[in-house]
Amino acid sequence: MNKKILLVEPAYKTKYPPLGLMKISTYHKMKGDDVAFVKGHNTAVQYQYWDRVYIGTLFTWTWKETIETIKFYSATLFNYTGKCFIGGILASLLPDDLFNETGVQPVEGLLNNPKKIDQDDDIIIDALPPDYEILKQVENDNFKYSNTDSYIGYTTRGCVWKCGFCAVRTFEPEFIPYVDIKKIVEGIINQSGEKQNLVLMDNNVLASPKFDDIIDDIKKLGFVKGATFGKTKRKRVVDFNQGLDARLLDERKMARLAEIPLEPMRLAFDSVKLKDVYIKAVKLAHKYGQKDMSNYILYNYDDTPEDFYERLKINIDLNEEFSKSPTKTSIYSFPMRYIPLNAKVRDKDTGNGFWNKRYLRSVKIILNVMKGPVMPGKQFFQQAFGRDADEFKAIMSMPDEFIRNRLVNNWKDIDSIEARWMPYVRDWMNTFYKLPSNDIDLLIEAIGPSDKKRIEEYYVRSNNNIKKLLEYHLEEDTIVTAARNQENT
Amino acid sequence: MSQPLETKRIRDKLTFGKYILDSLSIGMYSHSLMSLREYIQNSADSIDCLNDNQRGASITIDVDGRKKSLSVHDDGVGIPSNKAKSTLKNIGCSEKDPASNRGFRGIGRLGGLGYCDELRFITKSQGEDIISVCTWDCKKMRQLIADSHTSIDTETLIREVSVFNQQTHQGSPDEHFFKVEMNMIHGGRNDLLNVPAIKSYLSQVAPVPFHPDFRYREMIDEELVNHVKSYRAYNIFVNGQQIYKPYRDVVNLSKGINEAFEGINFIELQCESGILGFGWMGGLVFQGTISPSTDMDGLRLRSGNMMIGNKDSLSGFFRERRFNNYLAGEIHTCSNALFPNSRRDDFEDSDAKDELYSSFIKEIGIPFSRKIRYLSSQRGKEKSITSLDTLFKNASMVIEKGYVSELQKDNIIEKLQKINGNNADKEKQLVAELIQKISNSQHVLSVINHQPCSNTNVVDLFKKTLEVVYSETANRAEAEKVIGKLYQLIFEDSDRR
Repeated sequence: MNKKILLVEPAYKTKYPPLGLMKISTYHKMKGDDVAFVKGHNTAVQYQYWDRVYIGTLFTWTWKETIETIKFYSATLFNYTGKCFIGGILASLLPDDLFNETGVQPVEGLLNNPKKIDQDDDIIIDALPPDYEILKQVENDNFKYSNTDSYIGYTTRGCVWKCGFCAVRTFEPEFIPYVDIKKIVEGIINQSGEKQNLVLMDNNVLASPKFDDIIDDIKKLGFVKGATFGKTKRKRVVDFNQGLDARLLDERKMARLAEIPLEPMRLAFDSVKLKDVYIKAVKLAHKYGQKDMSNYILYNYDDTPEDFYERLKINIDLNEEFSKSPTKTSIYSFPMRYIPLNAKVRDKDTGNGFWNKRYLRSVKIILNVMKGPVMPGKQFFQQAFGRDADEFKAIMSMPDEFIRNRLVNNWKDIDSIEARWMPYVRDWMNTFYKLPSNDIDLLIEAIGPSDKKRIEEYYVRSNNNIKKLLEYHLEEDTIVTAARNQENT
Repeated sequence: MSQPLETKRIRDKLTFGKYILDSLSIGMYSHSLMSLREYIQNSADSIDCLNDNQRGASITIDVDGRKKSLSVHDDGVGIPSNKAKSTLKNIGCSEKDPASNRGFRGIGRLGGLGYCDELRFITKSQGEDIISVCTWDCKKMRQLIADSHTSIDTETLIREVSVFNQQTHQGSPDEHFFKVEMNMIHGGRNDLLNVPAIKSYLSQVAPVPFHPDFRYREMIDEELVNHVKSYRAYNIFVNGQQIYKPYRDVVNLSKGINEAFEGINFIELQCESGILGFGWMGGLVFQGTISPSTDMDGLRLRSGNMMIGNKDSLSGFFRERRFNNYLAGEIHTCSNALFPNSRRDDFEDSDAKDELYSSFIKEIGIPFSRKIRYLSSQRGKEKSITSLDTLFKNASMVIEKGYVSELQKDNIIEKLQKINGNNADKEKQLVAELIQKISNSQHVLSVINHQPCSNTNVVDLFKKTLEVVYSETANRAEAEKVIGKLYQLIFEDSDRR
């Protein structure tokens, strides 16, 4: 008897298609079952009968949305929790919390054992090709997944390291040095036809002793330098989207990576302590003709704002250096804020005393202006993050509206950075730089938690210099509006 | 790591305290009539043990309000004199086979202990001239249990409060029966002395036949006999009146209309291992919920033709609980793997139970929730269309013939403004024009005045108006009130003059 299977992804924003649910879809379709896929709460499916509901989960900070979704579908199943299967990253990181909150015992880790979801066969679901067809059921004018024209898969699982900031050690605890990507791709082709690109979600492919075989596999699939796809000859690219480990990159491995159309190449620059290793790796990539690099910069873990700035600056300096070479390697920096592995909200104190709420907000505002990545241009970088770490800190201490409205309207026609600033920014900088260091400490104490009430309290008992800066925080809207109005007249 | 000292079976004598009996009697059921159900269940099982040629057997319930007593008498096989003592005094050791009997735990007969002061079991089996009587002093039992200073075990308690004796039967040795007597039933809110409540309860819970007036009676019986092995109905009388299931040809809906069943639909609840349930459903078009006063509302679950739980037991398997009340019918279980729990409010946990409910959700709960919700939203739409229709009619009447009251005019404009908010541009424009026209409309009397050849006698018109108010108002009291106000108005006016 064919079963009715419902796959659910909670309604949080996502980019990548839900690979786990897609594999479960393949599994059930193999068994002749009917599979439907929905995103978020869907009242219509409550009026249909389901033999099983599978709910995928992602980041722990989607907790609220995820729990609401699980409760909704648990009710859809008339609380027959035995028919509700919850898996994915959140489920693997917070299984007990999730169980206590919903009454459903989640499936932890990979679907690499048929017992995990009471299969009546011995098929390893994790090894099945993902079913792309189901994505169309939830995509609409307002929502599309990215990378749907890519084969998405793994050539390894897990990681050899156990870094404190990374969840891989929990949900993929075992390092599996080789997964035959050819089989997965073949499966996808049979199910959904050929795809242009290849996205590999390996956590640390460079740690694999089978690295050469993996590169050979990728090449066998047609992903060689200069490969094109379809009649319009679109360029085919390979993306190890979780990043490569700079520590494990050597000349031989780089030479092999250069055989495939890696675009972009992503290195992780998690700590300034790895500066030398990182620079060496980037230069190696450059030497082997790598054009696009997009590197992850972790912050708010055990770093300081100064070393965060330094890492961004290293990339800018490298860009400067490479711009004179024929390869013109360009590095985009992708700052990634550390969020504790059990955080149920995004804005969670990590206990890193070098950072504070004010700084973190400010970095977010700066990044929002750039829509995420830090671009390679030096001038632009200096304007956004400051010309040195001190200026970076001065900018981070500003009120929100000052950061957003730092520049005059016609800044592009003006050369010097100071002259581009709005008058209140110049004033802020002058006052800030004049403060003795103990006053700066007091200022940070007042504005650090990013709380207007606290600033008001400090305002009353502060000296005049600090008062002035605190007043900017309290009156930011009025000041910016007035200055903008004046500018326009 | 700690070492286990020694693992051995417990060989000491264990104590089963007095509260065991408390739990199995007073604590077992949430409703006094449930004890009656237990006695009927025993009677039905006993009747089942008769030979086929004795099938006219019946169960008679007599309720005596003056004596505050109730008896349940059946002419089933009874208990042989040599087994009567152990059967009636022992607890939880029934010899009945769970597969073929409704009761099998040997605790049901204790159900009455909590509701009366004396409970008697009287029985005789065929061919014997001995009657066995077991009498329980329930009052004493409750006192001993309630007394916190007395600590006795269950066995001692039973010895203390129950007496067994046997006597020679005066009548024919062919007689065979079992009788339960509940004497000195506690009054007040206790339904055991409420004859209509007993009838209503038994008509829904007990294994009684369909009513002779129910036109689908034979058709349903035939299908049930074919599909449900344990299906059987018994003649049960309460104070001389036979009890039938509540189903009739026509159902009253809560909204005040009646609807006749259009045929009967039969339902098979199937799973991979076979048919778990079989039932029937009256053909209805789901115009509304069935009135609870009919006792026909909701699909009800039955096992051995006795209801499991209450009328809402299946409601939780609909998207909204109230959806079950749109349906009328029964689901009978037909699997040996489904055992009612000792409270008979559900089945014991098993795969079969999971499958039965899953199948019910799949075949009934979800599809009918969908259907009822759809029809209900359709009705909502139709209703709003009808009310729009009336609104437009009234509006054009006012424009054409004038308004009778400023309030009427304002009401129409207000209603039109409301629909203005959520429609297409073209409609909005039409509505706006309508509002404009109504705002400019005149009082009906002014309209008449302006008509060129109007020679209407005002007094005549006023007479006719009063006539209409009095005769056409549906609510007489309202009409009187209006007329009263008019009297006041007319005489105040003439006084002033």
